[in-house]
Amino acid sequence: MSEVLVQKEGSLVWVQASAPASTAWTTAASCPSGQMGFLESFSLTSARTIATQMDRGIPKHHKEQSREAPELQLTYRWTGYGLSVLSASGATMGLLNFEFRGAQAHLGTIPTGRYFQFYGAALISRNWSEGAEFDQVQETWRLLGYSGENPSGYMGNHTV
Amino acid sequence: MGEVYSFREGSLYCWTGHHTASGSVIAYVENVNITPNVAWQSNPAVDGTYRGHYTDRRIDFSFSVAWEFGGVLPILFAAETAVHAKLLQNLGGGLGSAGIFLYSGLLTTVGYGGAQGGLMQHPVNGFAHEWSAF
Repeated sequence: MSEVLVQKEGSLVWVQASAPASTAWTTAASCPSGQMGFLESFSLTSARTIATQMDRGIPKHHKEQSREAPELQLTYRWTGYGLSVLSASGATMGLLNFEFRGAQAHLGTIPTGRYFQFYGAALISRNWSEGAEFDQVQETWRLLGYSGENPSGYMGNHTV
Repeated sequence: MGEVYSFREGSLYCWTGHHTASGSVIAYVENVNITPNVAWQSNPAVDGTYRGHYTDRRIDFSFSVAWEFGGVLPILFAAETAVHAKLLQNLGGGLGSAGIFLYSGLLTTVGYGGAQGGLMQHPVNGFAHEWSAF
């Protein structure tokens, strides 16, 4: 039986996207990237609309009608630098790709962790607040798609 | 019992030239309406049987498409030439597909419209006199 993963074993990195894509990790060579530091919480929400087809009152099958754009919610302590979504990413809006890794140290060196890739993230809201103990930023990013859980990732700068 | 088709499983194509060409898929389709009509006239013969013959075969289509960079519809409309159209519904996963093919139709409208907070759209209308279901 494996172990559950906790926040201490997670890391989230970002990279500038090179084009809008819902199912692909698109980046240009030597593009800006970094790790999210002092990340207090992050969550993914995704949903889709399903219509259940009835035949004379009996459910027969489901039909997927649409997929809502997934969203990431990030809350991090502000170090004076926020995520700046750079332009020139092959779309009219600046886009980032995010990658999350949950390290599986308890399994040894192989595999190193379980990964999620989040594609085509556009910032839709940012809340900034000052506090006695720390300043805090809350952000919501809307994705074009995501992939996971996967056994491998793209980014080499996960430090956990 | 098969599955019903949903809108997201559909593809709409519109092109000019030979009908056997693959055609360009129209992206960002918002809605589709295709209505074939056959006007029949039925008259009795002297032996008491009835003979039916059609006086008009017409299939009208209308759809709304978001105006995208590089879209073909305004160009097809400006060419004022015959166009073919195809609506294909595909269940995916080898479960089956079906659709309707419109031959040598005419585009009567490719409009431009939009509103604050929304996208720019093309309302499209046209008709043809030949079609086949597949």
